[in-house]
Amino acid sequence: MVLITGADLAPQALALLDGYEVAYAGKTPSFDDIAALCRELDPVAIIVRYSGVNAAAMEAAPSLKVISKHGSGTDTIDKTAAAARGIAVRAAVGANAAAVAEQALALLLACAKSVPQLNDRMHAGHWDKATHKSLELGGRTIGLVGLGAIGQRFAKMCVGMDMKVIGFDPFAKNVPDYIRVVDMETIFRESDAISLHCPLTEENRGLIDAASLAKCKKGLIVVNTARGGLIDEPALLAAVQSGQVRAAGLDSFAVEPLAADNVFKRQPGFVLSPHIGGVTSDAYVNMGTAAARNVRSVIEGVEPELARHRATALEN
Amino acid sequence: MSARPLDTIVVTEATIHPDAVALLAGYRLVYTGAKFAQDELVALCEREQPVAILARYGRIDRRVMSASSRLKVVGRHGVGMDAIDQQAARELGIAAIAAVGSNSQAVAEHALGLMLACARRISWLDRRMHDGHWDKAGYMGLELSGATLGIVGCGSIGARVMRFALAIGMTVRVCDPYIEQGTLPSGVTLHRLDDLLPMCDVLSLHCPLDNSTRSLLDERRLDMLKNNAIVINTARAGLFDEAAMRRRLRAGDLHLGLDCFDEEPLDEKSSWLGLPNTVMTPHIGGTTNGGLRGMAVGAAENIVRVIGRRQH
Repeated sequence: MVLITGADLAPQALALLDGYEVAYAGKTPSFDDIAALCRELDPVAIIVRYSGVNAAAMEAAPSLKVISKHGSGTDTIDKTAAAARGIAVRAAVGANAAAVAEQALALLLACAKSVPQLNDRMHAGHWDKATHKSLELGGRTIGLVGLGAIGQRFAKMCVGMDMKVIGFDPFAKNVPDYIRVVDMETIFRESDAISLHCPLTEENRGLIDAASLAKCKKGLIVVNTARGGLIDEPALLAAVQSGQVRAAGLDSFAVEPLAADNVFKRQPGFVLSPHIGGVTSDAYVNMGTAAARNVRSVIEGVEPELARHRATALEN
Repeated sequence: MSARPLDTIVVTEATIHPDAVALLAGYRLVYTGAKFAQDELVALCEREQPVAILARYGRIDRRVMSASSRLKVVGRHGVGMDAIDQQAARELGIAAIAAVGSNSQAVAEHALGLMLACARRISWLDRRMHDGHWDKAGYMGLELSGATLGIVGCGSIGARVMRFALAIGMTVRVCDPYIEQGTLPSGVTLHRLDDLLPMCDVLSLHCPLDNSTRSLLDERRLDMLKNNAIVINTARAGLFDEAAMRRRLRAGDLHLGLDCFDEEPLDEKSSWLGLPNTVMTPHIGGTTNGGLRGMAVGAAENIVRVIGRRQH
């Protein structure tokens, strides 16, 4: 029995779980709902889409061998409790890297070209050609914080657009030569746009705050498709209002879902999306198949044959 | 020092980039402003007898060109020559020159911006967020990596869009009767338009508007596009049948990113207002710092090349 903490799983992923029984926890399961299902079903594996798995849930499922995240962030799984019980925790690393990197590019371009604002004005019958000026990104410098799968993928797109790419990552390995690796001070000093692609830790909480924004070039663009806690939100609002920051494209927020009366509401200079960076139909399939493969590799001790989905496209 | 009067250049805009003004030092520049009637432009040319027109707004037709017996050259602020009567220019012995390549980077970036705005529904999500909604549940974006982009017209702008798309990991297919397969990067193939259309997840137009491309995408060809395909037009209105396009959009099975319109400026009575899946910008693809400078300087250089640089 494999428990999915969601209402569905991609057919390609289900095909990989052929031979296992599959149960669904629904669209909005709580931690308690998941623990109750563990007690009832005693699954050998849990694929985590929504919510998470705590010690109580693990305690309730004596057969449980693996908790497999449908995505890359395992922060809703109690990893200490899992380790104490010999339960493996796996993440679908990189499965949504393309989706998130493309969302970062979408937000960067939306900020540079003011696409949402112009579109709203156009649908209201206004023609702002005479007063609008876009920012040309070719030749400008983008500073990336975090050079993992997503950061490196995004870097490649920026280079394709003839941007200069600098990046900061104390742990990065095999950084391609079109990224100049620098310290954070250089990121703040040289960037025309900064995009965040790092996990949130106690060290980098509030990395983008009043002090760091003051060091940046006037007219900076800020893009965040990583974690909301990386940004001091009131400080960013003040910097956009003062013109220090030209525009910010945000897909993640300190508190989600964003409250209806949040600080960014109706603020010009903010392009907002509801944490959907990793949500594309391809990423849905990739995350599902990666999570299912991780389940089988732990339980069976072998790597099932790679799903053929998109293999052809990727070879091109 | 002779006190001979300066020759005049008419600029069909309210102001142009200072680097272009500097190149045209030694000439008297007369500006039309951004909005003017055709008769006003003709009258202005009759009165001022310019040796050159630097053309940004308005139509440079036979009447305008005939109005100045001294006119030698029309320098286009940008690359689109469809508002200049080139046949009349040839007959009148007037050079009509485009500022080729001047805004390619700006327009290519804008096309990519519209493409991603459509693929990820950025404008719609942004408006909903600013209204206090959180539409994560049920959302599904289109991933461009692995998707197929069809490029119609692979000149200076189209080739840049091709490079951007390859860096994203898209499959690129090209329709352009003026290029050879051998000039394209490996993996990119050349196709006839009717063969290209059914392949595309995204179609981006980068060809000039002329008699061979007018209404290139008519109703029949629009129907050859896949359901939920994205069409991007940062080139010229007139390349597709607007009424047929609006029918497809209203049916809800096509997405459009559009920067140019049959009737510009668009106003509050426009049929484009409120259409679903339609991301619109007011013909600003080329208007970046680099683009505006490039278009103005390119036009000024072309003018100077024809009439010669005047000494102070």
